[in-house]
Amino acid sequence: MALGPRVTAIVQLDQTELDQEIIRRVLDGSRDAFEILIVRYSDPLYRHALGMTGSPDVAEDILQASFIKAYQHLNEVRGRFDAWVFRIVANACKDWLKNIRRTHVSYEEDDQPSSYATPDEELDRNELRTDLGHALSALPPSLREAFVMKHGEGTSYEEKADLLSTTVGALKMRVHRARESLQELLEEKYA
Amino acid sequence: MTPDDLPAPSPSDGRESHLRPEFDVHPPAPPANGPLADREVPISAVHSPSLLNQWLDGDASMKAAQSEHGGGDAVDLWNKINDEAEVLRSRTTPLYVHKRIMDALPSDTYKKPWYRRGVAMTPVALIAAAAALVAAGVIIARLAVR
Repeated sequence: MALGPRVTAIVQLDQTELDQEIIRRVLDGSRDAFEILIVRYSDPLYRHALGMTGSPDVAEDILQASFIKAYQHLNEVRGRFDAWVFRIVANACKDWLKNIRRTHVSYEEDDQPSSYATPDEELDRNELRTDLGHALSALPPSLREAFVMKHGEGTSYEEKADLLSTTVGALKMRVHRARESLQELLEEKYA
Repeated sequence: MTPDDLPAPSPSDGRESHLRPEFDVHPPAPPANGPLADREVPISAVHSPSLLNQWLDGDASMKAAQSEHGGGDAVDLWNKINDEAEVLRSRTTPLYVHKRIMDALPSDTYKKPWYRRGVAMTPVALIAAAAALVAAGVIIARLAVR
């Protein structure tokens, strides 16, 4: 059953208060309390970094560097911790994309388990994964970010717009442009 | 005299000219590149998402997206891309990463100096502290008497 917006807001409020309590403990010297925040928020952040970089190794490094940065600046958190740490990870991903200037994304190095019925199907999907990685790397970082947030993390436009401090309309526009660009890049081969 | 013999009404004579399409008065088209009237909205500036985008956002059916020009192939492609995205959505952080991050955290960022740390008092420590205070009091009292 889907929760109504009011219930979601209350849950979010409680979550924010719990996070604030943990932050207070960390600032009081309880370093171990920070692990609660890592465990709570690492999965969506890892998926974002993985979608943006295409490499599990790079995603892990970005996650580690971002949480260390968050820990060192924890006394600067105002409001939601998850939104704040998301911006750290998102900026780190964009910086990585700017600096690395890679021409392809190494989804091939990923060792995720296969779930395809036949070897042919697996071959096709591996090819699509590689081509999708190449196409994603051709997108400007802002479009890539919007696409990954919508398709790779599966959360609503409203939630993501809130995290990015933008409007739902602007975010939708970026996702639509990203899709159109990806389709142009892939349709010749796949459509 | 039959009605056919009557002169045709002109657009300016005010007699039911609105009922006759040939006399409908349309606003003049704005000159090319000219300023638009206040109430006009240029169509090109309005973002109308394609049916494909509407389908991917959950606002239209797959059939509707397929009905668009070239929609069938595009829907097939996006079904494959969505399957790939589903793989990404199922990913979780490897457990060793949590430990790696904790090990890499600086140990002294929020460590307080010893004089600002709280003291945990157990009953034994409390009794020991009280005994030490009494002993110190006795020694001071003896020194004072001398």
